[in-house]
Amino acid sequence: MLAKVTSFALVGLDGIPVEVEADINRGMTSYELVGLPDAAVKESKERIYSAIHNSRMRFPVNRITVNLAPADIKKEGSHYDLPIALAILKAGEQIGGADFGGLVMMGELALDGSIRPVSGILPALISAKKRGFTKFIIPAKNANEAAYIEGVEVYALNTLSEAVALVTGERRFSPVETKSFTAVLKSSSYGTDMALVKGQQIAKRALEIAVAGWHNILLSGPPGAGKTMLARCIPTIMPDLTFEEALEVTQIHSVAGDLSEEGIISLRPFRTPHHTATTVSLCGGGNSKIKPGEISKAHKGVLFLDELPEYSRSALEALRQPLEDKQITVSRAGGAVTFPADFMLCASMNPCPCGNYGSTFKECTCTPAQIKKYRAKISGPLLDRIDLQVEVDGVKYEELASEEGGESSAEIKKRVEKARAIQRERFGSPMTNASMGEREIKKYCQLSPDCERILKSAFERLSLSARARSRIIKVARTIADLDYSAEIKPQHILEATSYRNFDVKEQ
Amino acid sequence: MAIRGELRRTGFFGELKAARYLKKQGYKILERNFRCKFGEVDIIAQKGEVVAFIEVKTRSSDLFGMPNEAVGRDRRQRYVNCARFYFYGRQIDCTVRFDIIEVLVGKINHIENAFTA
Repeated sequence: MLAKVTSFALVGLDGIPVEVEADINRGMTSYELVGLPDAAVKESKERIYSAIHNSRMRFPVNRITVNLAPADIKKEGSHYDLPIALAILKAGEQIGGADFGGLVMMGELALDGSIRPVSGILPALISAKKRGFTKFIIPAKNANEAAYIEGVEVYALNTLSEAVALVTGERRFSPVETKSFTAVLKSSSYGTDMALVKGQQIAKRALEIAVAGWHNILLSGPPGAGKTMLARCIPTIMPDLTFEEALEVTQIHSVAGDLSEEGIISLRPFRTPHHTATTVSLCGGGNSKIKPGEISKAHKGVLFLDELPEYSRSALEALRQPLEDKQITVSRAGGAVTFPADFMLCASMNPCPCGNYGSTFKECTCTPAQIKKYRAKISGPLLDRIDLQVEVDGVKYEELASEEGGESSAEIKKRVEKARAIQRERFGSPMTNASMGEREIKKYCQLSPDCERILKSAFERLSLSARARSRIIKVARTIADLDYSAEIKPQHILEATSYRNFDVKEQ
Repeated sequence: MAIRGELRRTGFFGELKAARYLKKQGYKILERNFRCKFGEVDIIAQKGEVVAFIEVKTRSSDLFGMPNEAVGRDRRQRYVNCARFYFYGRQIDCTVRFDIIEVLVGKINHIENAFTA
């Protein structure tokens, strides 16, 4: 007899329905699994065999052929165990009355017949829903991932026997209850606050601008000045994730397989890859199953590169294209996969090898040649893409010891949210100033003759590139938004230009 | 040669016991010691639509491991080849199964579907 069950394969974040067919014929007993399975899928036979026996059922003794269609895409991962097991049972006429119509199944089987959690449930559910599937069986431990999708009937089950009872109609199960998203938000759990950072008014202001317009930022300063501490505060002043954003972020982390029990990511990601990170670990890749890298995991959050010049050149240069496109296409021989990568880049570095160049507190001991060599590690094109370059100098003792706290993150966040609201209204979408194209710049960033004059002299004196010019305008637009000003005024342009001081220093 | 005769007696005793056991279980014995150019099959038995090719392994002690462990890859392949040969030219609609019957100090252990083609 022939039995068919539907499951899903993931290509990047995109789900493709996979028909699991099992056919049992008379003949010499054998088990063939075809349809481009990888090692984990091939090994499923042993797990399924034990799981069926330990669920008090019989693994059919006959000629068994299992096919995973379409046969031309690679089947990866362990989530085919459950659909294959049920297809075999049905084909062996042990669960004759079972109805698989419109049902999508995913799950790994343990030898004792229980269903183990798998990665990628959320993106699979979302694409299956788009294709019109509404009924699902998933592992019980993945239930939280499914809880935020409305309009689907998801059964989160613990064992193979439960799955059999469900498809035969022997027992009734209640579907996973839909949760509302706001219930899990907790913005206090970042464990840090802007109020804890003493002094550093300029840097704080720059961070506020960066977050408000989703600009990239570079903090440069002597060791111990507070660069890392400032960077860690960035998520605390970012607007909360919206439900749609949270779903996008969660999908990426679901594919990467690093979701917690919570099931959905409700806090902005803050990724800090170590400077030994390889290009592949940053951008994503992998031999057969292409996994998202750090830049995708930082989607809608912050990618913090501490000690920027220490990263390998090739890893940094690989960031250039995703910084522009907000996504990355990883191509391998097995196919190309696109992951979103809309992150805010925050980098920190020392201005020179000894770290004290430009500091008012300590003398720099580097030779000009050393400084030049150190700075040359960061390429012009990458620097060009960083809108705000801020110097973070050390803090005076009086400031450190003062009880007076600065503004709290909550206050800054309020201003940021207002600036974001202005941008949303302007673009009619969740777009931000930093992602404006030339057309939007022309439309929304009209410069008065005064502003034009300032910009021209800066352009000539600092020998800025065309991209740097439009980036300055974008930053000026954000500063104007924070100022609730409809047009860009000279002071906004001046402030925006002042945040490109890295370019200046190089002269 | 004395040892050889002893061994043959043990094996023959085991096969006899296995055949008796199978009959009691409702099997019809089709062949005993079926020989072909691929080798020998101890017992071919049928029950319903299942035709079982059975290797009988007899041991008088478990000092050297369980009897079924002694059925290696070559032996299994031999059985598969013999089965192909057996059905060649015969039109039989059935399921083919490969079993092992262990006879250890007179005790019988029937392992159904012990290996697959």
